Amino acid sequence: MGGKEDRGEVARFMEALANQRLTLERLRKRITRRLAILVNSCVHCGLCSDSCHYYLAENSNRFIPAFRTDRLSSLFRRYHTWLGRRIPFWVGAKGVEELSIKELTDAVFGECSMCGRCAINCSVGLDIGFLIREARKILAELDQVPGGLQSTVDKAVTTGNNMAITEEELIGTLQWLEEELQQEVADRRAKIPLNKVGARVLYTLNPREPKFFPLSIIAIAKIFYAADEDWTISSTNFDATNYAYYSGDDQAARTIAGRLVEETERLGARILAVTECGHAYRSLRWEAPNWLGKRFDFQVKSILELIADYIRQGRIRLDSSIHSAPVTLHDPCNLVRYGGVMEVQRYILRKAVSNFVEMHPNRERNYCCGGGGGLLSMSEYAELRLKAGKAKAEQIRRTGAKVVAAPCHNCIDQLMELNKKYKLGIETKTIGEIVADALILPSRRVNSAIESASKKG
Amino acid sequence: MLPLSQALSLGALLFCIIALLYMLLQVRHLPHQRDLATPRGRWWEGIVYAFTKALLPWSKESSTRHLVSYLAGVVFHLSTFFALFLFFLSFWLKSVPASLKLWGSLGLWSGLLCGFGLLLKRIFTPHLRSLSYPDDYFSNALVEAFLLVSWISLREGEFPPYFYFIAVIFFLYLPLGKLRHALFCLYARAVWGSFFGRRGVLSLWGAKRTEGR
Ligand code: SF4
Ligand code: SF4
Repeated sequence: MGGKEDRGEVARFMEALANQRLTLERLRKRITRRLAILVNSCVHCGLCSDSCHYYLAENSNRFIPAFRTDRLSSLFRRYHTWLGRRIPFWVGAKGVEELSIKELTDAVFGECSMCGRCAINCSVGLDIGFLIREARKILAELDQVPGGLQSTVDKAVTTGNNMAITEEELIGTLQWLEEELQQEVADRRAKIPLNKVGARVLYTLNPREPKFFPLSIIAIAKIFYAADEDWTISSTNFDATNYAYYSGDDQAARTIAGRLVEETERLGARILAVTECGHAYRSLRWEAPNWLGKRFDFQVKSILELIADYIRQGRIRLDSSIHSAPVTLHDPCNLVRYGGVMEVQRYILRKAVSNFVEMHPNRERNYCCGGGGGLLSMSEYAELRLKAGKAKAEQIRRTGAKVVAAPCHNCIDQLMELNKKYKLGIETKTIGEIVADALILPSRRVNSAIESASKKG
Repeated sequence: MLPLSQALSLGALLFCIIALLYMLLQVRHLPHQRDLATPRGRWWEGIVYAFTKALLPWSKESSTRHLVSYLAGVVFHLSTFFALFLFFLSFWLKSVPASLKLWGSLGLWSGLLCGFGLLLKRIFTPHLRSLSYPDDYFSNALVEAFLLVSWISLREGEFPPYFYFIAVIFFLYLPLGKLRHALFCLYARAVWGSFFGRRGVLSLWGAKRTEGR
């Protein structure tokens, strides 16, 4: 009995030792210019604390943004600064032997949604979201990514999408949706084109859409139909999400993003349109060129940018009186703060609803809903995630809105849970759904549909 | 011939400059990922924003919420720059003009009070204490000492040897501990500005101009 325990102890010790060595090695490999600048710059002023929704909810030191990243900085100080090597306690330098991998994993995966709100508020200008991802990268190489997140990444890498939806399943769903669309617009020529070579726009999905929220696909198809867009969906490479961005696994992120890029090139599309999903937009628009080491010959656009173009160009018309109840807007961190898509959603909503109310603060200062950072896939942190959503819930309540427009499927999931927990009494919708409801269908095609129907009749 | 204290302080200053330059070169030699995504905004606009608009007390929620601390920090830093200016001036100045005595003392005293206030805040606020190491307290105290001897020198109308000895410690410690943020913070701020400027998040004229790019 005792022998077994001893052997267990020894094994744990050896594993810890191996982890320490690997951590050191990874840290050394990982030091880039940006990382070195950031870990040297925090002045420990603490001004970032109440910009974090975790700190606001829990009011505990461990949720101060600078406190989280100090774990990484303290390692850097220990091995890469003169005082840290000689008098570590003086500068708070800590060696790997003092680092608890479990604690670090909790801090960077479970207690931070990488929302970057602290980065906007840091008195110096430290991008803490970036530092957290650097720490996640090290942990990913040590196989410490929480199970739920890792399996989402694995599914995407092995099956082509993060919900393992087969091609047959997707085609079946889209065919059914196409029939629904035709009924809705009363035009049998309305299509959801699949794998169309030469289409102008390749539209991508979040696998949650075909699986749980098919109405959001019909909504976009209806908008494309009304705008007379030349578009298509790939039946094999349709998943816009990239959870490897969250897990810190650049190799997997490259594989996932690379497939969509290749598909866009194969089909010859000029625009890769990203569904309403914050991290998908960020990954494809901003990170993928760096992961793949090349500039793209096509544009990556959020579907919101296309919708706004259609309205501006008069390709679609909207009746805002359809939505008379107050509607507010949630700004997903990766779309807005890290993505720079800030005004088009406001432009669209002002055209599509008659009573648009801003949340405060908004745009790049908006509070994270708490569902980012891959947290929705990590069930072990679910309770904390919902607690941390309190700031968002209060923000929504203050607007008095009954509908929350959220251009991100991850955020919608979190907002639905916050709705239950904080009894907000709201409905959450994508912007596409709101626009689709307010569409005034082009009479040209409605008339021809009626004509062809009467001919058949 | 320079007096020993002055010569030592110039030596320490030289060490400080060389050490900071060395760090800068080290950092510049680290691998750097060039951003290949098509920009939406302008990187330089973000940098200009970072060094102008972003410094205004009402531009960030953190500075508005903690206005007193933020302003205290600004005054503390400004008077440190003034003390450094005095240090350089001391090599040329034969006697201290009355106007410099008056306004300089006022500036240095404001800095001293603000710095002391920030030190007390660090000691007595639990969440700040949890973020602090001996280096943080020492760095603050060292700058305070520098401000104090600068003020005494101004009042006396001459710069005594202990003014230069404190300057020696200040310059020797600057590249080693937290005070090296004097260099890295500027760099970090520029990186922050160019990153968010490129993405069209920070814009001097509002986000609307950059949409659609
Ligand atoms: S990135 Fe967001 S969740 Fe993470 S520490 Fe900063 S404010 Fe908090
Ligand atoms: S505001 Fe910036 S510099 Fe100050 S403690 Fe937070 S991360 Fe560090």
